Amino acid sequence: MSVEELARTMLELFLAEMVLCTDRFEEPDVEFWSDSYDDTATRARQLAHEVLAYKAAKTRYRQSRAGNPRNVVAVLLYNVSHSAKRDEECRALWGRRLEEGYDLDRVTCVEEALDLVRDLRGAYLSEEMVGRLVGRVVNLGRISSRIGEEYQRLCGGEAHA
Amino acid sequence: MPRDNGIHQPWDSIKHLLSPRPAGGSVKSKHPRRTVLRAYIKGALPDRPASWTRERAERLSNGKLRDWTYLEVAAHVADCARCRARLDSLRQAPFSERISALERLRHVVTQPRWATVGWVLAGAQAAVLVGLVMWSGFFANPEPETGNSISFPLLNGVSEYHAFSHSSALWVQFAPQAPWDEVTSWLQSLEVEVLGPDAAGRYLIVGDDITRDLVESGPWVVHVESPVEEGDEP
Repeated sequence: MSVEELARTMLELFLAEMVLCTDRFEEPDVEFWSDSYDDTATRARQLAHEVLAYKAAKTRYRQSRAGNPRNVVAVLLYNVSHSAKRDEECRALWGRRLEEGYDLDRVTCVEEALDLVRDLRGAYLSEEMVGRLVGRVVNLGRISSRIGEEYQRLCGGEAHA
Repeated sequence: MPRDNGIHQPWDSIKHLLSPRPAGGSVKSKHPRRTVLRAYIKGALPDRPASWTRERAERLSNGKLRDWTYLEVAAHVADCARCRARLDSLRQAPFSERISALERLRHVVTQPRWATVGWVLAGAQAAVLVGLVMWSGFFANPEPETGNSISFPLLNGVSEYHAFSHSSALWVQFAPQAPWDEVTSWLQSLEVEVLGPDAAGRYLIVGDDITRDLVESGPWVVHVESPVEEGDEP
């Protein structure tokens, strides 16, 4: 396995950590593995900022009384499910799973969270299906704009530096 | 709907990251040990190394890493079916198999019920040890001050009367450095009756006239006196 492939796994792992809400990674971890994944500095920085924006939004929601970090997880899972070519079979499978009561509470370790991230690609979950998966009704558009704010803040912070 | 409402932003780079990857490339020459996997399950590993370096990343990707951290084990397990199976098996194993012997002992000792049993066993062990020491005679039968003498039946009124009624009875004192196994053998060869020692460290030897002569000229004898002086009534 090459370092680039390992870096890709590591970055997927960071997403899985966020799905699990354990978040056992820090900014230097993301930066190092983004650089290892993409040797173009600009692209590596953009990738790191995207990942860190989700983490920053989760932290913000965790500190807020009204917010819930699972809202950010909902956006993350929605985007993951839209990240590959649409697979109708995969979508139908997830539809059945959710009908049978599958939800995020069944994911108890990071390997299962990583499996979820990998399985969801191409499932093209609807907003309602994602809500069922995370166990709450989430306004994905609104949460996504908050994540966008965090992303802009990270990019702006670097521009100022 | 989803693509136009801005839900995907920021996502372009992550989307590229998650694109399907070519098969293969997951073979690793070395795997984390069972103890490392146990620590991983328990959350006892450090999250990351002190610093990430390209050299460390290459060691991890080549399966040559020794000091595993949480993120490294997680990344290895993500693409290693063998370690994933080992991990699942460890997670499903009973608690006693999931932890090492030392951890098991620590766990047992910290359980209130087993801690009580442990203290009772420790107390019993201490009592047995004290009993053994006392039984060995350390307290019950202290050595005389000379430290290297032997003991015979202690003097009492009956034996003293019996001894004094014999003109051949002798009080004998041996040299402190006398080899007591040889002294004992010598007294046995004389076929005499030996009593003592008394408070002064003397032995009363009861025999006949021949014995008296032999004892007086015997080895390691430093002092001889007769309890019945010549002409006294027995």
